Amino acid sequence: MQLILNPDDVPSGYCCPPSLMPSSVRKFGKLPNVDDWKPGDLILVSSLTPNYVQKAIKIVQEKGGYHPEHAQWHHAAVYLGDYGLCEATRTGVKAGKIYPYIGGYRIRVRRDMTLTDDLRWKIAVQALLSLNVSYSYKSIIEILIQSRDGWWKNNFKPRNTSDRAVICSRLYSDAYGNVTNKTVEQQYNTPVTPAQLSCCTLFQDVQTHWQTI
Amino acid sequence: MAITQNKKGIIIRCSDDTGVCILKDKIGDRQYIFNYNKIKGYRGEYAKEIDLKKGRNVNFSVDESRGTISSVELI
Repeated sequence: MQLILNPDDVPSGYCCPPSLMPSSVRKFGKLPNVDDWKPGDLILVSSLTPNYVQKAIKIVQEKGGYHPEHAQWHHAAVYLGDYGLCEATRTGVKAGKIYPYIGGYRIRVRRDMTLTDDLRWKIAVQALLSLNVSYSYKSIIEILIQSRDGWWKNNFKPRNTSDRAVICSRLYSDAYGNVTNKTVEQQYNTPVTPAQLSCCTLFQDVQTHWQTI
Repeated sequence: MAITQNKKGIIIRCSDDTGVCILKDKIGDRQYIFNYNKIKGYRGEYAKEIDLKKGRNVNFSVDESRGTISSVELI
């Protein structure tokens, strides 16, 4: 069962805003309770009103063989602590706050429960070491092409992709793999996507809730 | 610590940004991730400099108790 933070969930408790935040978040009136979140956690988001690209990612993931429950997650990020995220965006790998995802997105937090806090911090640091690396549009095109046949068909030949570019899900899986020596890529040459991170059995969901600002 | 040596694998993906590679065991479907520094004789080169790329054959050793790579040899 997925533990999801939906925008219209009722908040429980109050929080003091940590610092400056956009008026949209103040207007929304709620912040996630991050007391139980840890640096190195996997953050998955799903837009309630997906744009063209977000819809395309969801469709591609479904076409590739993922259940809609997992295919709905179109973006992955690494939690840094203090509402901070490290994520691969279309303009490259950036560090920022979770605020753009407050209000219009479902949020889900996942974690490998066997890790120590020290290893979790290392995952966060590994992700940050990729800051400013460009976004891998080539990987996206590969994923699109491969999804047409279905990723469960285990017959893809190795393809070369740019070394100096990354997509959101790979940012997390590489950081995680670098620190833990565990791979989330479960099938031969199946691309790591947010949907795969959603159903990966290495991670469990972290319970979370809203707090009123 | 039980180490199984001289297993045959093939590189699936490598990334200079993160310094990690994924290899697949040629026998069975098991995949492993490893840092470049597990490669024998590695001295900090970029993937291109040591011809480390998808499809490259390797010999590797596995720490069976952890299920992780202990060393990799490019062949």
